[in-house]
Amino acid sequence: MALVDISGLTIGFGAEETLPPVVDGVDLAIGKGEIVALVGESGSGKSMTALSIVGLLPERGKVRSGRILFEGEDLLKCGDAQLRSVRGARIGMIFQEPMTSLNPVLTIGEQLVEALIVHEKLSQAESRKRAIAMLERTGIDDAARRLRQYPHEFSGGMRQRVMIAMMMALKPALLIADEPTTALDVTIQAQILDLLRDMVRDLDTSLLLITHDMGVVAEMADRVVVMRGGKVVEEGDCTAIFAAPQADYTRRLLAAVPTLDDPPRRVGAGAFGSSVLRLETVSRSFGGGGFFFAKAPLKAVDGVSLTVRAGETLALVGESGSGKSTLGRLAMRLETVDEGRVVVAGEDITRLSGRGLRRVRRAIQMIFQDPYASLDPRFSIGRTIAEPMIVAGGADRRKIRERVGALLERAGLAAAMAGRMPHELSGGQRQRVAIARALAVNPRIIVADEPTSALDVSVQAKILDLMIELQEAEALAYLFITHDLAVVRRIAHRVAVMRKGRIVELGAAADVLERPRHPYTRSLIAAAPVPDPARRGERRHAAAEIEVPALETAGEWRAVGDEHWILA
Amino acid sequence: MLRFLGQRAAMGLLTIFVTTIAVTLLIHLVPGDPVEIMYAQSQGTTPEQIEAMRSSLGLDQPIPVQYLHFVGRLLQGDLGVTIRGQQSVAQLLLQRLPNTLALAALAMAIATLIGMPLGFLAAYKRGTLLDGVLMVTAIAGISIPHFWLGLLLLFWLAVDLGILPVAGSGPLNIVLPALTLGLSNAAIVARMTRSAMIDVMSQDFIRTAHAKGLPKSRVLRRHVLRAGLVPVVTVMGLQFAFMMGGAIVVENIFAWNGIGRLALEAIFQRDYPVIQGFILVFATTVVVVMLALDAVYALLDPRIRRS
Repeated sequence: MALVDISGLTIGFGAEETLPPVVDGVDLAIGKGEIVALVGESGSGKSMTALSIVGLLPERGKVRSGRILFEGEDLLKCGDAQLRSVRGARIGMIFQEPMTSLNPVLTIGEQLVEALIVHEKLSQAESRKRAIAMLERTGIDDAARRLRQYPHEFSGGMRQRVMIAMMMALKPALLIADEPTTALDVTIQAQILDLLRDMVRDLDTSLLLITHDMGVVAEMADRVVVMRGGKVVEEGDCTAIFAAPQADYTRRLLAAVPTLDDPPRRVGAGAFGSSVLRLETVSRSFGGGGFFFAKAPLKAVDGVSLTVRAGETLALVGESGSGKSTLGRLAMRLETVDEGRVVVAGEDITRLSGRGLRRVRRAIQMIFQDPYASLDPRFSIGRTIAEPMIVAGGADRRKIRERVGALLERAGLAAAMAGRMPHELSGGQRQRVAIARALAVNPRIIVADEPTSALDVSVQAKILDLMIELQEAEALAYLFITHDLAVVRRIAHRVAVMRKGRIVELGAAADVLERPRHPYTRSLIAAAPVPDPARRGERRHAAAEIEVPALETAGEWRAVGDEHWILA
Repeated sequence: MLRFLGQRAAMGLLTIFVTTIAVTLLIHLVPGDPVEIMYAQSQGTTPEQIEAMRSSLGLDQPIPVQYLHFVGRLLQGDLGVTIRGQQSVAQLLLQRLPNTLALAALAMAIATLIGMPLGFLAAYKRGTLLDGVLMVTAIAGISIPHFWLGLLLLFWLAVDLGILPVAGSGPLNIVLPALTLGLSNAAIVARMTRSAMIDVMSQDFIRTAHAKGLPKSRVLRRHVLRAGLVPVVTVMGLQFAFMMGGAIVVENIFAWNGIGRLALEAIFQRDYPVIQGFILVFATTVVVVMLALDAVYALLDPRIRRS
């Protein structure tokens, strides 16, 4: 008998008669020791399905019908106390955001032992011993000392290890992991996935893995359940689904996933125009100074030189904290450089300010990661797009209105959208609006900071296509900031890999991605999950062999190929 | 941690320093000649008398010199003497300060004991009838002016029931003013507690705590309460500082001899040295309370403690 047997599960918010369910008649079974991936895009109902198992649906969310059998007992019929004894003890749960999932005002130790004391009635000393053992098991050194520390003293990856230790300490029969690695860097993601798999295999725990990332699915799952619009559209063995997806939706989903096997964009010599953005040994530090005491400043960007030419996409790749976003902001002069020069469209903007800076800024525009936060919720779409034109001046109302319509259509939206408000639009539509706004002043280059990271894969693919199309039509240049190497492959002509404020490798996309020469680049590529279960484990062996040296303190640029350099 | 508090203390000293400048300029900010206004009511003042008063206040000297004199005396703990009665201002303030401190402390205790549990309860029962009733009561409590609430309590407890004295300075006399201040502050504390706790209850780490299968009472006590205290403590600190400035209206209704009442009398009598002293004492109290708040934050939130 299956460990978990869900049938006919229907979940809705608010009144049954008026609001359609968010989960609609879902059947799902998880066998003992099995790893099941629940896959779907945002709004597919995958998280709601998982939360209903532990009775933690958000307020107003109600199970309308169905049954959730766990170890033969219907959890939906359990009382509060009974459900509580299952939660934690028999079913553990890990969430997406390691930065907010731990209580900031309690020590790691307090948070680790409390469940042991409640469920297993262990003494303080015994549970402490168990907590230390679990922390060590998840690869945290010096566990006894770290028990006394608070969550903010741990990095994101370390916190996720703590979460895993906390949930696995009670040896649950089922672990639910809701996007456990989505917020982490790819090298950390690889480690956490390995840890999760080893832990559940060792303790014979079943794992329900909720994710939107087909690479993670291919790496982990025995069986895959695909959800869309609250319904299960396909279910089957992991290898079978990747090899021969049955449902139309699954096929489209898989096709939209960018992979490192996609052909990179290639270019002939002399395909690009003149330089539109040139950074000359720019540096920028944060902090330091201090009111009474000197503090060491953090070098976010350290002597970086780059050129982006008309019609070219230069991808800036790196993990969080590598300084890639700061570099983008320096190029826009949203931050001022400490040292070096910023040249946009042939004009030195390093020291420009006021009117002069505003004039040059028309040549360089920006698109941000979060399309929810980057549009003013009180501005209509039309007003948002018109604003840069009004600021630039020189056009009358009717002309601006016409141009807003034309821009919307170029960004793949209907001109009539101009009257809508941001909250009426989907994430992908909002990002199109952001693109239309950037295009409003006819820029030569757009700095795009993770423009597709907050979007579902199918939407991401369309936005990337749009960006490529616009580039080809008018020789736009992009400085494309991303952590996702597969996206790089789809859009970039050249790649710059950043690490701790410096560029460690620079070259044509095909060269850098296929023949990476810097060990750090190699480790990044090896850690990226491959959406192909047949090649599972390859990455782990590959990644294990690479030794990334500690930071190059005073590296030298060395040519390793045609227009291909590394810092060594 | 110590460095953090050291920085805050330095900022506090700076605040007090700026206040001393403002206090020196205070007399000159009043339109017209302060000394003439002072004597405007009294008949038959001679120009010599006015001149004597002017020089005894040091007003015949250039402002920077006045300031240096003022700070020089201040550093020796001398705030001058009152215009009427020639009493030492510093002694007068010190004599009244304990009364105000006792009143503010008792009022704060009442506000905390009533406001925090009710706010917490309202947060826990959010959206229910109980929550609604509690919050309407709280809004009423904030809206009712002190003098009105004070008079109501006075009529009810002192006149009708006769269990408390109307005014005076016996030990029981503190109860009515403290209750008046305490109740209206309880309403503020309750509202703040409710919104802070609701904020915490929707945080991810509370979901984690539930996912661990902890009993509800334990989640509330250990995870919600402590994480939600920082904004509540902020409001309580500000209210306390405010009351230390003398709850002027309440002190007057109940004839409570605190510094608020003293300040009001001084204002009516245009007794500048007393007003100056009062402002300095008030500013210092606010700075000290803020410093104490910073220490409490650090105690409550390890992120502040270790940074």
